[in-house]
Amino acid sequence: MMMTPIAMILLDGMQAASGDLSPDTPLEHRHLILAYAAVILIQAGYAGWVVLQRLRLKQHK
Amino acid sequence: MMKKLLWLWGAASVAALVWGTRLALFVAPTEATMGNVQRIFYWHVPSAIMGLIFPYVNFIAALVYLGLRRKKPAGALKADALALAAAEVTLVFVSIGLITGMLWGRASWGIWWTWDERLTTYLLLWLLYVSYMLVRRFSSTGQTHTLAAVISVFAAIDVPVVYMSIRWWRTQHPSPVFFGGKDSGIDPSMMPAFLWCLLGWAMWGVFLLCLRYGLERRRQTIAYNTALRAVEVGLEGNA
Repeated sequence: MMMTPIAMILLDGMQAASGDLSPDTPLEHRHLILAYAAVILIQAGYAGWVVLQRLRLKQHK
Repeated sequence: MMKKLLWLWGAASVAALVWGTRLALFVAPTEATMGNVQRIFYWHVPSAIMGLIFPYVNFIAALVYLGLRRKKPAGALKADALALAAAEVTLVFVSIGLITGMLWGRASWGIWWTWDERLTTYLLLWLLYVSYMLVRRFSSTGQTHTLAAVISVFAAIDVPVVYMSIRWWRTQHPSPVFFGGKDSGIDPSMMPAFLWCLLGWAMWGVFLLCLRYGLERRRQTIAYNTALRAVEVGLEGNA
């Protein structure tokens, strides 16, 4: 039932990501996508950095 | 064995997050006044909550470090590794709380930022942990760990002020959603999505904490062995 608005949001998000920030893209959709993307980026970035450091230390042995 | 358990825990936290996010984006109803942007809530609030819990792991570990540093240096080093890991995890969650909050604020209030009590005290918490990391990284006084522990104390004092800010003052930030009296709370149909996301981010936070703690302990061991080798080489040179 909720698929349609979410599909719309994802489409808007993809448009925003491809640089098409047309006034038709609702601000709320862009910001929802940006917020979720920022969280994934920061969390995955930090976890990735820790794992890389662990691997580097393993090689140090 | 512990390593396997840790990675299993990490996988379980990702599964909880995937399920929670599915509920947040596809199942929870659209909020009446804010529309779809309110779905930021399902990741913003759990991250903000984690940003108020991990400072206490950092604080307690810092206190243990201060208590043990002369009597039991080995135990103090463990506590120090935990304090550093908790500080980094806190910084990650507080940064996310600020960024998602600003994105949500811009879409629903029309502004990125306002100097209200909740936002300002939360920014202060972020600045305290940035200072903590800078002290750990660049201080060369020989008292680095003690200085960092003092910053942990300041941060622990700020946390209850952040929590109470929306109860003590009238702020632009919404009044408490949970434990805020009669008019607080969310629609029961939104609760499963919120609880799954909260569980997922809490588990993920613990996973990151353990992962980072293990890394710091390895660094400490390597630093200790390197120093020991240098002393041995020095002694051999003198002999």
